[in-house]
This record gives sequence, C-alpha cells and structure tokens, in this order.
Amino acid sequence: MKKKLLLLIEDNPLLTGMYETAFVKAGFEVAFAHDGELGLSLAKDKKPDGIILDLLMPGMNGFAVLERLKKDRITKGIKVIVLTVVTKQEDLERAKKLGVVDCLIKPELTLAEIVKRVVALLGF
Amino acid sequence: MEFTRISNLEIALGILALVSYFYLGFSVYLRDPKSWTNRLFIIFAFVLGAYTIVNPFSLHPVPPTPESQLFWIRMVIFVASFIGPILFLLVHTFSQKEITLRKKYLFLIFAVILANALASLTPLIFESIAYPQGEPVPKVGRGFLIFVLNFPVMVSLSFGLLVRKHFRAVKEEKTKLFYFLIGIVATFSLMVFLTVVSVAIFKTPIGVFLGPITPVILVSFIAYAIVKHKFLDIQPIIARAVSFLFALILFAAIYAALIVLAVRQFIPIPLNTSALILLFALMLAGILSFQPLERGMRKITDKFFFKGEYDKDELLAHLTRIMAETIDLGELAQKILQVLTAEMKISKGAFLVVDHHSIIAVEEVGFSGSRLQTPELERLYHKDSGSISSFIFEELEEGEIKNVFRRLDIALAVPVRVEKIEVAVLVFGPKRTGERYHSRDIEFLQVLAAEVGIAIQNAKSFSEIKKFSKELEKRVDERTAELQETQERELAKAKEVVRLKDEFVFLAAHELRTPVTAIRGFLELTEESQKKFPRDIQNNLTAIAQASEHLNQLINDLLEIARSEGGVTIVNVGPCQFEPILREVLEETVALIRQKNIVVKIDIKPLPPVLCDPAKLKEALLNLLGNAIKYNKDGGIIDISVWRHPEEPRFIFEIRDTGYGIPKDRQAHIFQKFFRAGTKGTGDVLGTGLGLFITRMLIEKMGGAITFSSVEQEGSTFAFTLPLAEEGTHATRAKS
Repeated sequence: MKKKLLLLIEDNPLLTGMYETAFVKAGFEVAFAHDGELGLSLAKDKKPDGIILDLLMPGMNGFAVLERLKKDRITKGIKVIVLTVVTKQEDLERAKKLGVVDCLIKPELTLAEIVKRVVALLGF
Repeated sequence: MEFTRISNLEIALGILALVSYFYLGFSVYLRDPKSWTNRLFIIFAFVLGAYTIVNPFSLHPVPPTPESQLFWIRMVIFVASFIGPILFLLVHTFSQKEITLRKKYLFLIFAVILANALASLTPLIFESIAYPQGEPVPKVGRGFLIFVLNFPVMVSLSFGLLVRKHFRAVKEEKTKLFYFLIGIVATFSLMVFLTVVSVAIFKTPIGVFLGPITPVILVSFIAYAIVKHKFLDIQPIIARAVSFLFALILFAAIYAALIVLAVRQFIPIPLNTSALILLFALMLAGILSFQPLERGMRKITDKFFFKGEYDKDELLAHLTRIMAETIDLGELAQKILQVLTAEMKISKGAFLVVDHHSIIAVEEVGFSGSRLQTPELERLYHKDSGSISSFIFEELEEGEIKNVFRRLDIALAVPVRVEKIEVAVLVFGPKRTGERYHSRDIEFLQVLAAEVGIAIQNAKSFSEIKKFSKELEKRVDERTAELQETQERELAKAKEVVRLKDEFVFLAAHELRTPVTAIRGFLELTEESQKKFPRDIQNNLTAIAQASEHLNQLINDLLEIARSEGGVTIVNVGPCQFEPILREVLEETVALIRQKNIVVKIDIKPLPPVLCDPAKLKEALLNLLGNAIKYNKDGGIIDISVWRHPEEPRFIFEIRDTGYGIPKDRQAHIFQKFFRAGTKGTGDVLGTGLGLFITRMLIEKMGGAITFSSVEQEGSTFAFTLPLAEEGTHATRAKS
C-alpha cells in the first residue's frame, strides 16, 4: 500500500523536524515547506493527501495560503488541517470558514494526540 | 340824517374776529404766562378785540346822531393809538421772555401812546364831522400829526425791525420771524386795500367794515410763530372750539358790554333797562354755568375725539399693576409707554435706561431710539436737584439742552433716581392735543417716575440674574463638554494602551509557546528510548517534563488573563449536563489522584441541565480539583458534592480537601493574581498563582459566584454556584 503523503507548511525548523519524526514514525510520507509560497507550489506539484498548515508565519500567513489553496482547481480538494499556537476564537472560526477539516492547537495536545487526530481526520 | 343799520354779516364777522382774538390770545398766553412775548401777544389781541368792538359803532353810531358818530370815530382812533406801539414792542420782544427794549425807549413808547390816546378824545385829531354827500367825513384837526407819527410810523418801524431780525436770525427763529412777517404783510396790505384803496379808488366804504377782521390774519400768524406748529393741531381746535366758543362769546360779550357801559359815561346811549338786566342775568348764568358746562363739553368732545381724559388714580393703579406683573425690562417699558401715550394723549415717549451714568438701552414708542442715545440727555442728571425733577421744553433756558429737546422733539424729560442711583430718564414728546403739559400731568409723571424707577431697577436686576444664570449655564455646558471630551480622549488612550498591552502579551505568549511545544514534543519523542537511559537521567527528563508542563500552564494562564482583561474572553453559555463534565475532569486527573493515594468521595444529587460554557466550566473544575490534589496530604480525602439550591434556580458545587489549608491572614488575597498562600508543607508544589484568579473570573462570567473557607493544616472548602437552564430565556452566546 502506498504511503499517504502529508505536506507540512511550518516556518519553525525545530518544530518541522519534530513533527516529521512523529508522522514518519506513524507511517506517513512527509514533505515540508518553511513558507507559504513554497508550500503552495509543493501542493500543486505533489498533490499531497493532506496538508498540515501553521497560521502564524512570516511573509504569507496561513490564511492567505488557505485562500489560494481553496481557489486553485488542483489543490482545492486537498484536506487541510490547521496546526497552530493561535487560540483566538475568531481566527479558528475564520479558518474553518475557509474550509479546513480541523484546527489543532499545538500546546493543548501531545504529539501522540496530534498524530492520532490527523490519522482520524485523513483516514489512514 | 340816515345811518345804515348794522348788518348781520358785520355782527357775525365781528364775533368771529373777537372769538379768534380771545382764543389765540389765551392759547398763547396760557402756554407760558410768565413770558413777556406771550403777555404782549394777549394785550395785542385784546387791543385788536377792542378795535373790533368799537369799529362798527363808528359806522353805525348809537345813538344815530352826528355827535355820536364823531365820538365813535374818536374812539376808534383812541384804540388804534395802542396798536402800533404794542406791535412794535411785541416785535422787539419777540420770542424772548423778558422785555428787551431799553427803558428810555419804553418810556418814549408809553408817551406816544398816552399823547395819542388823550389827543384822540379831544378835537385835536378830529375837530368835527360833516356829511357832504351823505357820507360821513370827519374834519382832521391839527393834532392828526400825532396819529400819523404813531400808527403808520410804529407799524413801519415794526416791519423794518422784523425784517432786520429775520435777516439776522437763524434756523427756527428765522422761520418764526418769517411767519410773523407774512402775517404783517398780508394783514396790512389787505387792510390798505380794503380801506384806503377801496375808498380812494372805488369810492366805496364797503371795505371799511371788513377792516377789523384782517388783523385776525396777523394774530394767527404771530400765534403760530410763537407756538409753532403745535398750535395748529387741528383736532384740539375742533374739540375745544365748541366749549370754548361759549366761554369766548361770554368773555367777548362782557368785554363789549363793559366798553359800551364805559362809553355811556360820555354819551348817553339809550338802553332798554329790561334788556340790560336780561343781558346781565344771562351773563351771570353763563359765568356760573361755565365751569360745569365747559367740563361737560370737554368730556363730550374728548370722548368723541379721544378716549376721555385720564383719571389720575385709575391710570396710576393700571400702571402699577403692569409694573407688578412685568419683569422683563423691554416689555415693561413698552407696556407703560403704550398706556401712557394713549391715556395722556402724548405723541411719543421713551425710557432711556441708565447705568453708570450712561444710557445703555432705549425703549421707545414713537421716538427714534438711536437718536435718543445722546450724552446731552445723560447730563440732565447734573442739572437736577437730586430728587425727581422735570425738564419742560418751554421752561428751559436757551442752550445746549433746549436745542437737544428741540432737535429730538422732546417736550418733557424726567430723570429718575432710586436711592441716589441714576436709573433712567423718561422722555416725552409733545401732547397730541397741542396743549402744554399741565402741572397735574407733571405731578402725575413725577409720582409715576418714582415707581417706574423701582420697577426698572427690579427689571434690570432680573435681567442681570437671567444673564448671569445663562452665562453660568453656558460655562457649565462648556466645561462639561470639555470634560467629556477629555474623558473620551483619555478613555480612548487608555483603551489603546490596554489593547497594545494585550496584543503584546498575546504575541509574547505565542512566541513562548513555540519553544515550549518543541520541548514537550521532543521529550515525548524520547519517551520510548528513556527506559534505556540510566535512572538519574530518566529522573532528570521527568523533571524537565514537569517544568515544561508548568511553563505551558503559566503561558496558558497568562493568555487567559490577557484575553479576559482585554474583554475578549468569550463565554458560550448554553444548557448542558453537569455530571459528564465532572467525570471528564476526574478522568484527566486520575493519575495524580492515584499518585498521592487520595480518596475521592462524590455525592451528586440529580440535576436539570445547567447554564454554562462547558469548556470554561471544565477549566474551572480542573483548577479546583487540581488544587485539592496538589495541596492535599498523601492519603488525604476529597469530598465533592453537588446539589440544587432549595429556592433559587441555581445549583451548588462544593469541593472539600484535607490538605494544608490557607492561613487566616492570607485568606483575603487568594483570588488575586499571582498570589500563592505558601502554607507550610506546600513548598515543592508548582503553581502559577493564577488558577484561582482565573477560576473566579470564569465562574463570574457564566453568571455564578465562588466562595471558600479554610483552616490551616486541616483543609479548604471551595464552593461555587451556577444558574440552572430551566428558567427564562438564556443567551447562547454571552460576551462580557
């Protein structure tokens, strides 16, 4: 069975490494982009099964990336999960309106919980 | 010898002339009896009146004999001898109050009058009378020169003097003299035409009997010149004419009768005794009934032409009532002036309101307000005696003030003081009746002035208070607006500061979260390999994990507080079941409970759905249960009970532990930010000092309240209440 491809768009290299380890260990194939632009082009090229998106990023932030993803015919079908430290209610609601499948708050969840949620959401 | 009988026309003309003389004479004289111009005028009018009486007798002598006619002709000359000198004296004195002619000339004039008058009674002027063609021709005597020297010379001199005075005079005086001149020219040219020209050229004495009528023109013009236009106010002439006619006819009759009786001493005039008695009786009746008659007539004419003479007491009462009822200065002045001008028949009036010696406001009826604001009128105060006095135009000395009165057409001014303070000047124009102000008018106005003064003073105070209160109100409004503005500005500033602070805290907390997340994540990744590590390293990793958990909690708490103080904590209140939430919390803490061997006893009474935000309620319960575990002794007990309030639609949650408790002196602060009780035995418990603060905040936001009690080293009890969802409507999303 072909491994599912996850695209991780996250600016912090420390966290990127950590999540990569966790998801690879859980059996995903992981591609990552450290900014929004790169994330968008990778999404088009590789057509991942799911995208893990951070909201707070320098340059193009998560909302802009989300909007562009949902506008593009190729990428709009890809399931997007927000993984962020942002806890402002209105931001989370805004993201949900833009079509994300779920919002995971980094500090509230352990790594194992995050992986479990992602697996549940994407269907392993 | 046949004498023509006197015609009715002659009699009528004579009476008309006589009445005119008396009317004009008295009218002018009474305006100012002290003035010599006026006195000479009435004398002049009387002389002409006498001439009017005597003249018909010279044409139709009584008795009809030549001797009688000669006598009457002499009488005409006698009366005429007064005309020239008195006219001259009048012209010389004209418009002055005192006689201006020097004494020696005055003496000369009297001498001329005396000589002429005496001569006229003797054959010196007319020796005899003859009737050559049936017409009477008196023979002129040697003394006729005296008459020539007197009458024509004096009249000529008067004319010359008048012309000279006219040339020298200016303005109003010039106009007056001009009228005088017209009168003289018109009269004498007509007289010459009627007597000399008609007799000499047309050979008929028909004009002679008209002669005495012509001076009426002169007298009218002089009278007009003296009293100006006021005199010819047509209304009062008509109004008074009816009643005055009676009086004047009576006077004229008495005057005529006296002359006739005096003449009888020289010439026997046959008089019907009974007619004479009747005449006297009539006169007496006339004189006696004159006063009431005059009053009656005046009343009738007044009622017809005006609205009746004013009643002093009634008018004063009326005005007093107005003053009592009106407090606005302008309204007060207008009302009083309107009543005064109407009732007293004054053409116009004004109140010049004075403050600190200058006119500050003018309220007028009929006057031009702006013109009255003149400093000369303010100066009236320097001239009065201190009490209320009045300034009457006619009585003023020629000078600045009189000129101002003349220019502004002021007839009377009354400066008013109240307790020595200058309050107002009351100014009145001439009376509409053309009469002068009588003493009763002036007395009345002075009494009124005192009252008006007080009323004006009151009105002034009132308007000052009103002005002051308006000003005060305005200032209060201004200051209030200013304050409000400042407040709003400051509030906006403060809000901005708070917003910036929250923003900062929020961002800082998020920045902190990332590395904490990384620490926790990597620790988790090492979990499986930990077992391979030596024991001490394992212990160190556990300590790092605890510290990072604590750090995470601290950051979460800080974020919660920042959000709540920035007003952004959103509590989504709705009906939900309480027990499942409590179970969830217990499940999450079960590891800790086991670790400390704590026994948890739970007593939950059945509850209807409660009104809360499940996430927030969970957070609050976690805090309270966490504290009960952390600060409990190993093997301690936790009692949890939940029950419904017996009366109110609320439920109560209570949690009791057997821990270290909180010392009494620190109990007051336990809900404060960053407060740690620091009870003995809790030294190694990690805490942020924010848990209880946040718990209380959340409970209160959901519409509840929290209380606690504690005994040191024995334990603490926390309890909160929250509303039940069963009653009334409930907000599903309450933001506070």
